[in-house]
Amino acid sequence: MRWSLQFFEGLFDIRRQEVGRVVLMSTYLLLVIASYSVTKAVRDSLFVTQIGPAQLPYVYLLIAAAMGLLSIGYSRSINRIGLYRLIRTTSLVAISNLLLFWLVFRSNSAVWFYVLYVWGSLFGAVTASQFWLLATHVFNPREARRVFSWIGVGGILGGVFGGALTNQMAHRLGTESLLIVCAGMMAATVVLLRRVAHMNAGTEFNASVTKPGVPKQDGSPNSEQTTGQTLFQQVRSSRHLTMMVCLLTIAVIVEAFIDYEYKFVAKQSFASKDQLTAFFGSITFYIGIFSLLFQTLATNRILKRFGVGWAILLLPLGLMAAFVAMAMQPALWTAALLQLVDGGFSYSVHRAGMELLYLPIPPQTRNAVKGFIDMFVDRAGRAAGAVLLLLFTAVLAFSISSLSIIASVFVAGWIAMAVAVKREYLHSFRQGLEKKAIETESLDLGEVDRATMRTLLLLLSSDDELQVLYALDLLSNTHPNRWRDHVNRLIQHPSSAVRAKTLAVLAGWNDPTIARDEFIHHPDYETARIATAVALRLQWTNSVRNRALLNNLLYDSSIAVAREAVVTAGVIQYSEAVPLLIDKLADNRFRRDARHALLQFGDAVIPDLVRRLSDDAEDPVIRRRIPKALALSGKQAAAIALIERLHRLDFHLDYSVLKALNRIRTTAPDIIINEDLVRAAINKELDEYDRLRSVESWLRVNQRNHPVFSLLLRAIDERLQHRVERIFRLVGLIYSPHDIYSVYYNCHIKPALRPAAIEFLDNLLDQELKKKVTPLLEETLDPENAFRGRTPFQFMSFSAALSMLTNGDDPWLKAIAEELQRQIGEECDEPRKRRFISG
Amino acid sequence: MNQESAALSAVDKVLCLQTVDVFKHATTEMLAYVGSIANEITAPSGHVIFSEDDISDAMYVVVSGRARLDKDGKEILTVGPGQSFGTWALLDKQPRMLTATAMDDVHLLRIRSDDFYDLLSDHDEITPVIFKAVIERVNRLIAD
Repeated sequence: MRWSLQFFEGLFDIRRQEVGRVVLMSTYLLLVIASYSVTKAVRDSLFVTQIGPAQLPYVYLLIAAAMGLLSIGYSRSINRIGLYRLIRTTSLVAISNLLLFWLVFRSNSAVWFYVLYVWGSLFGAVTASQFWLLATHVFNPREARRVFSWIGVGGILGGVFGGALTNQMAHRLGTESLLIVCAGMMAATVVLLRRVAHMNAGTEFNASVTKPGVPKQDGSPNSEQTTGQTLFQQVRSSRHLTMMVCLLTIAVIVEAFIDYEYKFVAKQSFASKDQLTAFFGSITFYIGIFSLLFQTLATNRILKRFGVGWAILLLPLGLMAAFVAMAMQPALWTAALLQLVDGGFSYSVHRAGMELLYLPIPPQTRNAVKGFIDMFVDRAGRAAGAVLLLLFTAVLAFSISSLSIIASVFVAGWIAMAVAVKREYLHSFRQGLEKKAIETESLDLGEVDRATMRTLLLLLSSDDELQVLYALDLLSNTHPNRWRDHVNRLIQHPSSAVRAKTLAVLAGWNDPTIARDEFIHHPDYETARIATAVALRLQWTNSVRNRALLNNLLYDSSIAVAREAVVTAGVIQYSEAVPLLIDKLADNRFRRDARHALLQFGDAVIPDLVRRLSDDAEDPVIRRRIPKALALSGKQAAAIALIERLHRLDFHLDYSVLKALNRIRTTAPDIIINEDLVRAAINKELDEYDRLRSVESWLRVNQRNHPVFSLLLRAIDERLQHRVERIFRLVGLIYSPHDIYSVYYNCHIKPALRPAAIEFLDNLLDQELKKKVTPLLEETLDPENAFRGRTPFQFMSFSAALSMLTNGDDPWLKAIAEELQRQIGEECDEPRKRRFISG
Repeated sequence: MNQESAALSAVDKVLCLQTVDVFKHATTEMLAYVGSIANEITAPSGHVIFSEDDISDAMYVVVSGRARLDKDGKEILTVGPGQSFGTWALLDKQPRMLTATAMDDVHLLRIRSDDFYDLLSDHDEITPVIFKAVIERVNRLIAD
């Protein structure tokens, strides 16, 4: 069994804990793409039969404009409502729209064909983009690099399935009725989405993609313009980037020619719309089959054998041949060939090659450039393609043959640019390695060509220890089989850091090499112990000897050894180590690994964590770290334990518990938090706030000219703010944390939005909370009108005011108040000034 | 020779630290945490607290007395009570750019960089406020 799993891991680069998620996400993508494929065939068929292909350039222009509008609204939505809700809402809207289209097409109104055409493009772009965004939340960057290509296979299969379905059902059901089938498939994605959300309950997937309410740099038109200008300058200053942008622009223009010619010829070849729909479906089917076969059988071989250059040349070379054929004989078979070459190569080898071209670009620039290309290049290219088509068809009335010759000229430019980009690529990659500008997460060595791999492996022989470590970091993403020849040399490397890193990388792949004798009995004692700690997790038998060895390693004086032992204890769920793992939460060198190890135990570790959290004799540093560990477990039992302990712990620990509850509420929305306990906690916080506010007001009226007095006032003010924050955190346990955070953020950071934020809060909260929280927020923002509408204060003296602090549970206020009493003690005894402070 | 002493209370230390630029966004309680790792030292007049090209390992806040900061023997700045020097040492262990000398008997708070990083690790809420102050300072430097 172990060997079969290792074989599976080696062959597919998928680890056992990832299999379930990969299958789920692949199925999800299959349904999304199938639904899009069917919609696209229906849309194209209806448009070219009812409106005519001559109108296609206009609709391309409409799509470019609609994409621009959508991207603005889309980024705002994603910040407002969070990814999960956005995807679910999008899917539900798509289902209702598909049903609506099905109904309205009975009326044969022309405008709806335009609407469907544009809608179909947006539907494809949005659902695909949302899927990949979702995928980046379901898989961490390292997992993503390994499994995304397999998830992508689900997409290709979706195209095959959608194409076959269209081909088979168009005649039986009629073109329009296929929209109902699409609605059904989208409904299935909603069910899968729920399952994905459930599996991902412990992560931030359910939260907003960015901090709610926090202005994004690209949120305002000005910053967008600035970013655009900066990016344009960045692109211009890099030869590699300039070439890539030119190449992509030409590709988008050529795409418009392909689409137009394909649909024009197809329309002339079929009499009925259902026949045309079936034809479009069959071409989608063949594109899918071709892509799938090419992706699985040829893409990696081409990349490894011939390199990036050929990978990005195959598509334009194929298109050149197809356009020449089309120019010579504009027939259905040449149109189909054009589409097959475009679709088949675009979704396989060309995409992989283009992704590699981004490799030498530093990650920050890369993401921005990709955004720039999506935002400007794609839209500008589409619009340019549409304008050119209008010129050549509507104005100059060129035939399909002439159009193909024009397109061939563009493709020739594409080929020339691809050759130039290929030359620039290796040069930029070498420079990127020297500057350490290439990040581990961005490098998928499974797809790089030999020349790139050779350049990287050369780093392993570098005299510079840091360069070797960097190369190992980059290699950690790929199976050790690809750099196996170097393992023996690396394990004998004079640098202990290199030896430890080599073992850690091998361990990450559960590579059985670690259990080899020369590793476990390595002459360097520390390396040998690290190897032993790692080997234990691969060959654990729970024998007395194993347990004694692991216990020993957990207490090892070497941090590197003990850290690997901690990881092993988590992987094998070694329950004897739980107390020690909890202890290690206090040590920042082990904290992350210890927490991760504890989380591997699932529900079983929660009682231990709760017991240690509640134990007053426990080390306070350990206690402070436990709430976060509980929150990250994403378990209902953890939430119950946390809410039950709220306000039963000391001031600081209590805050950690509250933050942990907020985290669990945000990341695991299905978890139920007892609302009565939360409301009781809000009341207690409000009481504390009022008590503190009364002291503060009295002290402000009875000012003393003493630095400690001023410090005390400042500290009380900070605490009042803190109490308000805590109240909002508690309210966020009842209502949407995103909404409550937005109100809090806007009130404190954006004064202009305060009235709107308070109004929003007023409408959101129930009557009971509204009465308590809204006035509190108003008076916090307007301290001069403090206590408006609430009970007047007690009479107090200076000593009485301070005694409220010295007898309170806040250690910091207590310390300042005691110091103040000590330093101006005699003044405290002066005749008491009785005052009545009213609101 | 610097001498370790312990005369200030936690509150006194906070009063000294609240004027330090890099801590200006910190709450008083955060300052108390910083104060807990701040050692009091005294240096007699003329004593060299650190020299140019020494490895930076701590920042200093003057509690009482004055210190002079020189570069190549030329006085750059004099610091007095409530002022700090060697602040960047908290974040960057680069060689000192200046020499600091006690002008009179000087009472200082010394915050060691290693202790400071340990503190940030235990109190991660302090990190953003330090970043904020550093970013403001860098922006000021760029603007100048």
